[in-house]
Amino acid sequence: MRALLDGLYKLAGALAAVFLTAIAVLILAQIIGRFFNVLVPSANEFAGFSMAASSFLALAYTFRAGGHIRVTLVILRLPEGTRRIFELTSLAAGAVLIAFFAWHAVLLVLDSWEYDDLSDGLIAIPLWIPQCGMAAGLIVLAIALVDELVQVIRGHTPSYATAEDVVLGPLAKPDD
Amino acid sequence: MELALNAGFLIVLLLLFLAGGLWVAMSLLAIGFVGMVLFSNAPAGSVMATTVWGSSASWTLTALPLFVWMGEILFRTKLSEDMFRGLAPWLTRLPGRLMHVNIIGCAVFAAVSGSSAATAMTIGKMAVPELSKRGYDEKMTIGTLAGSGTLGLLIPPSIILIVYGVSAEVSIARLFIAGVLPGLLLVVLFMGYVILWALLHPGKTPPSDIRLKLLERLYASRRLIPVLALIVFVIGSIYWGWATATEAAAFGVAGALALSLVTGQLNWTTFRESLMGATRTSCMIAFILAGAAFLSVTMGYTRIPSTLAEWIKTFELSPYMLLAVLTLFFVVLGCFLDGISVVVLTTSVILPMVQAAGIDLLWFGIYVVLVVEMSQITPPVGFNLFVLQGLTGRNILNIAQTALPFFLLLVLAVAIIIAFPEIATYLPSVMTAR
Repeated sequence: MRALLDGLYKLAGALAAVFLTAIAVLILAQIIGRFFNVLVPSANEFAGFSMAASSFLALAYTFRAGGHIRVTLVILRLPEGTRRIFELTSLAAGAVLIAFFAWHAVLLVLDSWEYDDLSDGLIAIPLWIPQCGMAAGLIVLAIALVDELVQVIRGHTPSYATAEDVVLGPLAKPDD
Repeated sequence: MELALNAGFLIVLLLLFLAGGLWVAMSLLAIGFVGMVLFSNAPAGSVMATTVWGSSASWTLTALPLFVWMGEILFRTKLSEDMFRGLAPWLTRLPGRLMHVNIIGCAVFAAVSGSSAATAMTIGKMAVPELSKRGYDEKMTIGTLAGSGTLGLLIPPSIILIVYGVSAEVSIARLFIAGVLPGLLLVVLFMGYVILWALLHPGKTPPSDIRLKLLERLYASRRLIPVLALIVFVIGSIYWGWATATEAAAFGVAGALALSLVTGQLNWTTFRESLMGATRTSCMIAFILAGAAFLSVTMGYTRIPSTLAEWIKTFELSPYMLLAVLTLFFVVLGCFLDGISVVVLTTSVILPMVQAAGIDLLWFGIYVVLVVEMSQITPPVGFNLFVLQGLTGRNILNIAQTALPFFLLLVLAVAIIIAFPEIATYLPSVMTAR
């Protein structure tokens, strides 16, 4: 089970990285294409869709790496037991919120599918396809939050705790 | 009156979520949700999904991951080592000598990375040992580093300016160009202060141990020059209208990859690490922006921002008074929140008020970033202070104390751009926008 879940987060993170690369490739292709008078159709739309896919698919992976920021000023000063209660409440609240959000993201996908919503631009693709990335990313994040909640209840240290006290992003810690 | 109560309730709830340790992006989403359920009849869940989708699948936003990636690639090359060797020979004649490496080094690195914590960390790591080995004043070394680290926020490509641009719907290209002169202004103020300090304390600057001829100096900075060329190309291509911010960012990524390939520092590990690092940072920021986009829609329903704007209008404050009040407010807010959260909360709630006061949103972006820079070096949550604490092992309050003169210089810089707004708005007015 553990391996399966970890694999899921990693897979989603890797897909996110692929979409990030896709943005760079699309934009560069567009620039090079302009030089040779070749139009890369709908490059802007596809770059935008890749952006959304990358952002959402990376959610759980970033969460576990301690990449999402939170205010630790207060909770770090609390005694161990009280801090655990805050940790659990945050995880539970986050899980409920993201599960609700994921559910509505799925509904959005179903709506777009039912009404045949198409994207703008030269190549019109059904909107439900890129919207799946958002729904999938949110579902994986909801799973990660529940997973983390269970781990903390069992008395484990949260996986995100390793990095959260170090500043903003992973950029700031070249030693890892 | 009822509206004031509602607003008060939402603010207290937000503080509760944030202080309780709920992640910032989720706190914004949660407040947006509560606000929408309580103060409107709109279906909160589906509005959340459509708003977030609309703001996330955005071509404008793609400049963000690309610039972050460019920084991550260059960050993993030997750039920081080259920085000291390349810059030091040029600066030994100035009063204060190698102390200026901190400032210029941070300015150059800021132009590559866009993150202030990364800037202070990278430059500090290579400059602090060199400076202390030579006997430079420790307080001044740490202070210059803390102050100049904040340049990362202003000198383009700046991540926080992208965040502001996306959420306030101001052109990122114009914001970047607007940040150039204020960034240089800060460099001049910081260097001027170091020169003045060195002249007032003549015994405290150790003698120069680097004497190189012009050609030798050029040789020492041979690996720095391509990086500088890349920066000039990226910023210049925006200024001269050859490229949009996103396209310039894509150039930047390609150029950074090419540079690290040529210098033999690109391999599968560094490529993967830079890409995953960029994925995480960009995801973190995009998630906050998504939460802020939803919160903005809710705020529109609650009519809190527009009422606030009306209310402030009744005081008939002059723009200067308003800015003075806002500066104080931001500095306090910045003591507890990171810069990105401050910016997105600003744009969701007080932008209508700023617009009503007749303040240019482009100029306001630069102003907000300057004020956020201040908060990076004020306790208790100055991110740069934490970075330097980790780096030097000194007490955070001592570090804050060494940074105090630079904090005051930032206040001076804010006063200067309020008095002469053209410092920010001139370049964008003459650039060739694409």
